[in-house]
Amino acid sequence: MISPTWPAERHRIPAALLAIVLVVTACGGDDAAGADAGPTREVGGTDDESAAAATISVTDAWMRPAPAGSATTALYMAISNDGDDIDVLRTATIKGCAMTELHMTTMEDDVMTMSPLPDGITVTPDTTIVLGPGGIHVMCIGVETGFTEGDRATLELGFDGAGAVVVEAQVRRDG
Amino acid sequence: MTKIAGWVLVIVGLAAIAWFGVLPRVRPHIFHGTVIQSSTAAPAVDLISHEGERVSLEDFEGEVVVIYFGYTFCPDVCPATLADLDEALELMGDGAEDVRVIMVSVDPERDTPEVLARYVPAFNDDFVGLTGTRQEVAQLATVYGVYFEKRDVEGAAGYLVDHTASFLVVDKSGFLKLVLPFGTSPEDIADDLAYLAG
Repeated sequence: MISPTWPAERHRIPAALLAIVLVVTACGGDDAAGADAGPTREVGGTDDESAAAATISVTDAWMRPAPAGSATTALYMAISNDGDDIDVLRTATIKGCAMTELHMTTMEDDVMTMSPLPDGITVTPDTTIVLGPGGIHVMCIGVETGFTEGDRATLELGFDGAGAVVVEAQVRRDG
Repeated sequence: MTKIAGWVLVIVGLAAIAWFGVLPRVRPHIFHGTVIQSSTAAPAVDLISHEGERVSLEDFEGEVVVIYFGYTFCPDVCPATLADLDEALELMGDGAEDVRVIMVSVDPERDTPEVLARYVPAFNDDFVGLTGTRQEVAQLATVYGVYFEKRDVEGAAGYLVDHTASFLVVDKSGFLKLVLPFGTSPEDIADDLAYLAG
């Protein structure tokens, strides 16, 4: 199971800010994600990149700029499970990337190791997983269209429980 | 009474001058990174730059040289480090003119000069990407105490490269001076580099 404590302290979203964002998304979620909502929900687009699904909310999605032809870039966000059941993020697709995978960086004895997460990312109830530099990230392999600072990247996440969640990520240089 | 107040004012004034004006100049700099007391010059570098030219440390004589071992296929830690270094140089303002940042590729198979030319200057026009044969890079990493190892992974990446995340700083005299770990803030990096460049 993925620990919710990554990444390093300096990259973590301040708890108070996150709490505010979560409250905002929870309020908006009532309309957007009712019991009859379809399997795909289009969310996000606000300044703080809030996204809400029935039980999953995604906040502060951002991606590093990369010119077309670059090998890779990474996308980060905070995923909260506000429901009562465990949910698992299985897939991620970024528009403009040839391939998208979930990866995790770990640091041991000052050596950086990156590994794919083929089993996805488990988000337990009342937990926020923060994807950030030096930790878990969505890896874009094969940058096709190019992402420049100020752009927005479209990311579709596939959860076991919440289904498909579409998120707009800000393209910017740092978290 | 007025006389005493006057003396108090003078004493407070002198203390302020000592604290803010004199002490920062005489107090030794406290480095944020780990200081290395080298007795010999930094090991020689002889690799190909992202502009296709052979480069050695002598090309940057009189500059503080930051050496980072990374690779372009790395989407997370490497760009985070290069972005932090760029921000540190921005914080330094004019002082950054005497600082050179070099990224030595630990993935020379993928990182040709052309690939590096697309990647490294995207962070800062003055950054230099270096590559060479696998043996050349391995030899350089060894003498700088840097570890790297290619590792096959499932999925589209094919393989990834584990590597030391810290970066090294060579001072203006050409001696290895400092090791800064991944995650050092741009402010702290700028503070150490400004001291060495000053």
